[in-house]
Parts: sequence; structure tokens; C-alpha cells
Amino acid sequence: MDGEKHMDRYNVAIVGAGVSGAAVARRLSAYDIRIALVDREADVSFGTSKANSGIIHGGFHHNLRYLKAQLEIQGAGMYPQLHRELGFPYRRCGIVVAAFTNEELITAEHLYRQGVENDSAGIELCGADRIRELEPKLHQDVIGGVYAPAGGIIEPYRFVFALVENAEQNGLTVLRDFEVTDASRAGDRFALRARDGRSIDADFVVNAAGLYADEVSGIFGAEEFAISPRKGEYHLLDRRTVACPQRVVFPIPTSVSKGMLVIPTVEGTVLLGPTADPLDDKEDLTTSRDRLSEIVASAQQLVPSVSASDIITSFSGLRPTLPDGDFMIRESDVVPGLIHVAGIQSPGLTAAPAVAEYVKDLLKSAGCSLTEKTRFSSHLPAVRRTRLMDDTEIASSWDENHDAGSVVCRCETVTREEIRDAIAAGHTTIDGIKFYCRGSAGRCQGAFCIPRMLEIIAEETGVPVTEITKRGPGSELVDRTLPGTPAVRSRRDHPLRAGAGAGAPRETDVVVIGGGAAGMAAAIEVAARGFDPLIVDRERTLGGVLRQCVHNGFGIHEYDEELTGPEYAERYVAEVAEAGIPVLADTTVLGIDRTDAGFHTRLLSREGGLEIVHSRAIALAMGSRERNRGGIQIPGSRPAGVMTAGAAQRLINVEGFVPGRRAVIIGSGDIGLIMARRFKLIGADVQAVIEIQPVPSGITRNIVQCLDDFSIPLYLGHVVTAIHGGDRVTGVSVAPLENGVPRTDRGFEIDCDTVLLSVGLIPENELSRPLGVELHRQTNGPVVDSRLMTSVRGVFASGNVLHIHDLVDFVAEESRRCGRTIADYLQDRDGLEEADLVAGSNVRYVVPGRIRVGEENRVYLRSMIAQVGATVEVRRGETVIASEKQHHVQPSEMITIAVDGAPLSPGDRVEVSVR
Amino acid sequence: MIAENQRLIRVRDTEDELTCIVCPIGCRLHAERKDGGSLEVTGNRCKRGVAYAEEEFRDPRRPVTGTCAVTGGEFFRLPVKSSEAVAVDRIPSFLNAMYELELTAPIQCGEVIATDVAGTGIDLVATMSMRKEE
Repeated sequence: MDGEKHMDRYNVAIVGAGVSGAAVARRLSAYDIRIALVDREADVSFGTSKANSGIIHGGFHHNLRYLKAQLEIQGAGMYPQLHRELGFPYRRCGIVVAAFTNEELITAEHLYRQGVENDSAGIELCGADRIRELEPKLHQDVIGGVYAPAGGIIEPYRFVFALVENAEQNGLTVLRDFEVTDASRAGDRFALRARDGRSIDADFVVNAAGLYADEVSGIFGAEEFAISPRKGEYHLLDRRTVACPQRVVFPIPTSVSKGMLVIPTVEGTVLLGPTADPLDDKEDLTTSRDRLSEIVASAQQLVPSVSASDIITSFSGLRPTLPDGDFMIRESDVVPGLIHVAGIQSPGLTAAPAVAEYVKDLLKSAGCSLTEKTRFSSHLPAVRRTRLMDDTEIASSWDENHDAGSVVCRCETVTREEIRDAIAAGHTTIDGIKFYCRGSAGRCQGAFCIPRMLEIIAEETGVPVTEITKRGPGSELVDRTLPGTPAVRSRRDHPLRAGAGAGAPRETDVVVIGGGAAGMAAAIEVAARGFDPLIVDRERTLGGVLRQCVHNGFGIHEYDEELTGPEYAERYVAEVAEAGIPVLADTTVLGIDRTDAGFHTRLLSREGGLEIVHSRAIALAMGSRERNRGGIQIPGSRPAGVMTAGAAQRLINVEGFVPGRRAVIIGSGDIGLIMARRFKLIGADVQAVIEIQPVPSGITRNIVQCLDDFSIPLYLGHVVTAIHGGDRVTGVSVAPLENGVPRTDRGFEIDCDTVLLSVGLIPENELSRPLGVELHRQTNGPVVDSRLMTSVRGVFASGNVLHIHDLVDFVAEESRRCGRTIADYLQDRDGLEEADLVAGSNVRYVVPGRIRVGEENRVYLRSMIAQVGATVEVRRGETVIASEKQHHVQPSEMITIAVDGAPLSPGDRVEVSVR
Repeated sequence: MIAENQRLIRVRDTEDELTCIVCPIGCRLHAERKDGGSLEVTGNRCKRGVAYAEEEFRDPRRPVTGTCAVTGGEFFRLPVKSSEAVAVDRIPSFLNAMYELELTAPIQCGEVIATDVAGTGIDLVATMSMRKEE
């Protein structure tokens, strides 16, 4: 934690808590000296060290005449032991460099010879077969290359955190938000002053200030040199991509850079990049449309299965470079006692442990007295990671502290206990916590968990939510709270299983996953037929997303009146209670395993710990998540204030946190429109809604009552070409789209402090996938038969997990039907005669994909066209089976029709079309 | 919280374009108040469009939904709605009165939590139950 007054005299002050500064700090912490590590950012590793390739290089890219090559080789060799001591994520997976032409192969041979000279352990020159054997994901046109088994991958910020934490155990003082603005020498001591007035004294100073090493040198009156930033842009791919290679894949280097790579990360995701663009601006962390598409194209040349649809986020990092391209590590000629560690670009991460040794020796020769500590603790306890634990470890972790059962981040299975660990280790910003324990680092990018994380940080630290930041002052996430709602939160542990009194049942007929409208409706029908369902939900209350949809317009079809979301949910909650259906709230399903008799569902909760329920059937009712920025790749910077509309809805309506004052909404989906109105109703502004399509994607009533009513402009056929802002959003660039290309020459800027995304929903099938459930390419939901049974026998799906519905009434209707067919299945009424149902002209998809012969079927479809007056026609060959006139069709409104299966025979192929 | 002198929701006086929302077709209507006081509506495909425009010019109303501060419950905000649609020019005062309320759990869904809000004669109704929590 930050230093106190009596601790402000140090032997060594290190300016810059990136990987170099942290490695030096850790190395020096073995000696009997007082050390301070200061950084201008809100957390350590928030500069160059947070956004780079995360590679331990193979020792063949650079000639030994460069200092950086010598330190790279020495540093790489030190990682295995550091890894044993500090336990950061690291894997020695090896590196392949792929050559596609004879010319490239010549360069490969050169790299190989350089590697041999550099003593790169086990380096090989490979032909086509060998390199494809080493890395089967490589493009088939590869003709050979280099293999360096010593290379590997690392999570760079986790490495920095581990170094700092271990050094802190050994007495290091870390001063965050400490930007050195003034330095002077009094006698033989340096005095360093920070922008906020704090000051420290030190005998020696290590200038490891990364991009700002030149400026720090100037502050000390030392030599002049210039650090130029070189920008690298990256894409991060979801863990479920099929393009994950086993090894780091490099192209053949060019004269300016090592090229764009395909990197498997230790966490299982895939990193693509970096680009290499020289810049002037040291704060420019924007991404650009052109570069982002180049990265994908370049990666696909190496690994063809790379797909842009797996991108979960894009970012850039700046590498500090000196004109000669080498590291500059030496004592200042002008100011004795000041050690420069400058120009630490690639391979600075690999070299860091060797840089620390080197600096230690420099300090020694400069007169710093270094006596080894008698008690140096070299090992760090392992960081808890629920995602990587087996069931025994999860259970014992929960036994120790029940917070280990409370899952906060769903995508990465991060528990409240892990977030507390991060906070205890000094990480109190959202980004700091994300880097430490991966909370909000997954595919939803925090849409579900950031509201929870804000609350937990507030509860654990006592800081008002309005002061919690993404990555330091200026990047606050909450502007204010609604009147009467406290910004300071104290911890309250809610009774979760009120009334039930017991844990999960050991056995039930059906485990219903998700307690929204779909799950409740299915469970009610299962129970009504005499079977036992169990509803499991991650939230504290039933109702799913309805809980935060406080506006009205629900239930018009089902109840013939306009209810608000919570009211609609309440009716179902009452039915669930009346039927005596057991509910496990605040409980996360970790996974579902198939058994001979059915399924084992593994549950984790604060109240019950790890529990396993056996069931004969599973009802998937997990709903959907929102497509986010990564999904549509909006270039620009990554300031606080960009979030999905649903996340904003939860913040405002459930927590009472107002995320900003002036919003631009991207996408005219219904949630975005509803949030436009909500912003106005809480006294905030909405500058515009930007829709890429020529027609709105939300329903007309919402366009009228959420936009027209408030005179909010709607730009159809426009795109946001960039998001601006350093710490917090300051605006967006908008341009009209012409033939699919943004016309930036006719573009304009809009000021705002918040960007809300309403660009579609994705069925949440993260539990279905590992169970082996086949998914539909159009709907992203399971492929189901006429019973709504998936490709896995006994597993059923309904609601938004199956396909995205526009009305909850349809979700409920479909799910009630699903509940009935589950009951039929449990009764072994299983003899099925079905015909295939496929989407024909003007139909995007139809669900289910099979209908029952001889019975009435209800099917759902989406038209691809908008027109007044249309006919939905169901045909077998030329014979019309069913035909229904529609007053009006449009893609945003789901169509439901009845299809009589009487005239059909088993195996028929039936097509549905819109005319 | 909302400036009461501003027109939060637009009010139509003599002539305007509007989109009919009676059915999903969404006819673009043009409506103009004639000298005799009658409203001339064009662009409508059926007569419901005329009635819609007339209502929007004569006495536009909207249902109001939102949340109120609540203490002693498991959440800090309670979802609420107006018991009937509120005249659009009264909505800012209605909202401000809604935000000033500080409720205490337990509260039942459907419970009237404030009557004659901001002198509109319209009540505020809880749309979710919130149990009391220690």
C-alpha cells in the first residue's frame, strides 16, 4: 500500500512501475535497502507493460551486438525459475516463424543462424512437413521456417503484479498516482516531488519511465534524448475460437518490425498483432479501421481459420523507442546516481529479469551499498483462479470463505473472493482488477459484471461509487446516483434461499437453467404435469432481464394489458411460488455433464458452495447477452463511458447509478431506444442515435415514443467511425455510409460523455457448447426438433437462448410449450414423426427446424424484408400446406404462425417463405 | 432533477409530421389545424390514424415509469409506474415528485405509494414487491 510520512526517505527510488521498474524493484528488494517504486498511473503496469504481445522471445531476432539481444537471451533463461517462484501465467510453448516463399526461407535461414550464434536452445530450421507438424493451424502454403522451443507466452501485467507484490513482501513501497514533476539534488540526495505535492528523498534514482524516460531525464537535469512512441494495434479473440495455435506464430520479419503475429495467450484467448506505426503523441492509444482490418488479413495468411467474428476487443499499446533501436541502460553522465533504463521496446518484457541484474550492477558500481537481506522471501502464494480449479479445490476454497462461491464475472468464472484478493493486492480500478483476476476480461467485456464489480469495490474500499474509476482519475464510471440512493455502500449479505432452508436437491426431474420468463414458464408447465423442476439463476431475484426493464409494454398478447417488466415477472414468480417449484438464486451453473441416467449439473453459490444435482432432463433458458464494441469493432480510443445499453439499464434502474450526462447511442435496437428515453427521464441528455441500416431496427412505437417525443435525432445509414477521449469519452465521429463504406469526407463530430451500444443480442450458449449441443449458424441458438429438444437427447431450449425474440409473450408461449414437451419426454411419450422445416425466400430463419407430423405446430420466423401486406407460405414442393396473411412484416418483428402437420409424412421437407 | 419549464416531451400546436403507432405499419402522417379548429390529417392508411393524430394534438399523454429510492429492502431502487397516462406537459413535475419520494420496504407490487402526484390526480404504483431486509 502507499507509503506513509515516516517512510519517505529511500536508498533507491524507481520512477516507472512497468516491467523494467518492477523487475528492478524486485531484484533490489533482496538487499537491505529502502526502495520506492513510483508511477504516474493509478496502478502498476498501466503503461507499455499492459498492452503488448506478451511473448518471451526465442533469442533469434536480434544480433548480439545489441545490448537488447544480450539481455533478451539472458532474460529468457531466467523465466522458468521466476515462474516457479512467483507463479504468474507463463508457458514455454515455443515459437514458429513461417516462410511462404523461397526468399522468405532465406531470411528464415538467417534467423536460424543468428539463433544458433545466440545460443537459442533447441532452435531448428524446418521444412514444410516439420513446421506443419509443429503447428497444424498454419496455412497449408507454408514451405518452412524456424522453430525456437525456448520461446513462450506470458501475461505481462500479471508478471508485473507478481514482481511488485513479492517486492512489497520484502519491504518495497509503491506510490501510485505519483507523477514526478520536479526533482532536485540536495547534498548527496535526490528530492522527488509529485504533481499532487507528495515528495520523497532517495540516494539513487532509476529512470524506468518508459515513454516518458526522456522527460524524466529532463526533470533531473540529465542528458537530452528523445523517446518516440511506436504504436501496435491488437485484436483479442474469444477463447472458443478454432484458430488458437499451440505456439506463437510469427511471419518472416521485415526491415521495420517482427511483423504481425498470432499468439495463443496463457489464458486460452488468441492475440493478433501488432501493427507498428511511429507516432508523435505519447497518449495516442487509438485504434483505426484500416489497421484493424489489416491485422485480421495478415493473421489469416498465417492461420486461415482466424475469424473476425471471434474478436472480443481491440486495443493498442505504445512501445518507447530510441533512434538507434537499442536499449539505453547506464548511469547518467551528467547526474551521477541517476540510472537510465530507456528505450525498452521489444524485447523488453523478455529482457526484464536481465535488465534488473544489469541495473543492480550499475547501482553497485555507482556506490550503492547492497548487502543481502537475511530474510528474503522469494516466493509468492498462488493467485486463486476458480476457472482452473477442480471440484475439490473449489469446495475447499468455499469452506475457507463463502465468497469463493459467489461468481461475479460469468465469462471468466471470477468469484467475489478473487475480486477481494485483487483489491487486497492494491488493485482498486476496474482495469487493475481485470488484469489481476480477469473479472470483466471475457467475451461480454463486463456488461454483466461491471455493475457488480463497482458495488464490490465500493463495499470493500469505502470509496463512493462516483469515485471508482476504470483506470485512474478522470475515468470515473458513474457520474452521480439517483436522488436518495447512496454512493457509499456497505456490505450486506442477502439471504439467498429464503424459506427453502435447505441446499440443492440431490436429484430432480429437470434442471431449468435461468429464471427469467423462459425458465419460469418452462418450469411451471413441467410442474403442472407432475414432474419436479429446479430453477437455477445467477441473480438474486427471478425475472432475468425483466427486472431491469421498468418501462411498460410487456404482456399485451398474453394478458391483454400493458405491464412493466417487473410486473410481468411478478406474475410468473407468483405462479412459480404457487406451484412450489424450488429455486436456487444467486447460483451459477459451472457445467453440465452427461451421465448414463441423464445429467449432472454442477452448481456454485455463496450459500451452498459446490453442489451437484442429478436430473433426467435439462431446460436451457439462459437468455442472451448483448453484442458489444468488440463485436462490431468500432475504432478509436478506449475511454470509460462506453457500455452496452443493457448494462446502462441495469446501472440506472437496479443500482440507481447514472453513468453519464450526454449519450450517443449506437444502434437503434429497442433496448437502445428505451435507454434513450430513460436518459431523458433521469435528467440526462441524448445527442443522437446512430444506425448503420437504412431502417431502424427497433419497433416503430419505440422510435416515436423514445426518440420523436424527445426530439432526439436518429441518423439512419450512418456509422460511428471513431470513439474519442482519453480517460472518459469526449465524443464520436460519425459518417454516412455509401455502398458499405463510411464517407468520412461528409462526416461530423458529436460531443458526448457516454456511448451506449444497442447492436443486437446473442443467445448465451456458453453452457450448451461444452455439452455438445449443436448450434444453428443463423440464430446462434441450439438446433431443435419439434419438441424444442436440442441435438443432445434430454436437453431442451426455449426463449432467447434458442433465438432472439422481440416480445416476452412469445418467449413465455414458446417456453410453456417447451415445458410440456419436456413432460412428454419424461413420460417416455417419445415416438416422434417429424418433417424438416427450412427457411425459404425472404426468411432469415425458422424455429424449430422440425415439425410434428399429424399435429398442430407453432413456428417462429423472421422476415428479411419489410413490406406492408405479405403472405407467409409453408410448402412441401409445390403443395401449399399453410398460408397466413400478414398486415405488415419487417425484420425486427418476429412472425409466428400455426402449421398443421396433418397432410405431412415423416421425412418431408417443408419450406417457409415470405412473399 | 428535471427542469420544469422545459418541454421534455414535444407538444404539437398547429402543424406537424408524426408517425402513427396504432399498428406496426407506422404511417407517416401530416396533420394541420385548420382555421375552423378541425385537424386535417393526411398520409394515413386507415381512420385510426386520424384519431391518433387528433389525440396527439388535443391531449397527448404518456404512461410514466421509473424508480424510487427505497431503504430497508434488498435493492436501493423500487420500480414504479403512473396509475394512468400523464399529460406530457406535466411529466417533468411528475418525475421530480417521483424522485423526491423515499420509500421503506417492505412494499408489495401494485401498492399505491403516492397519490395525486404533483397535483395531476394520478397515483404512483409499485411495480415490484420488495421484501424487508435487516
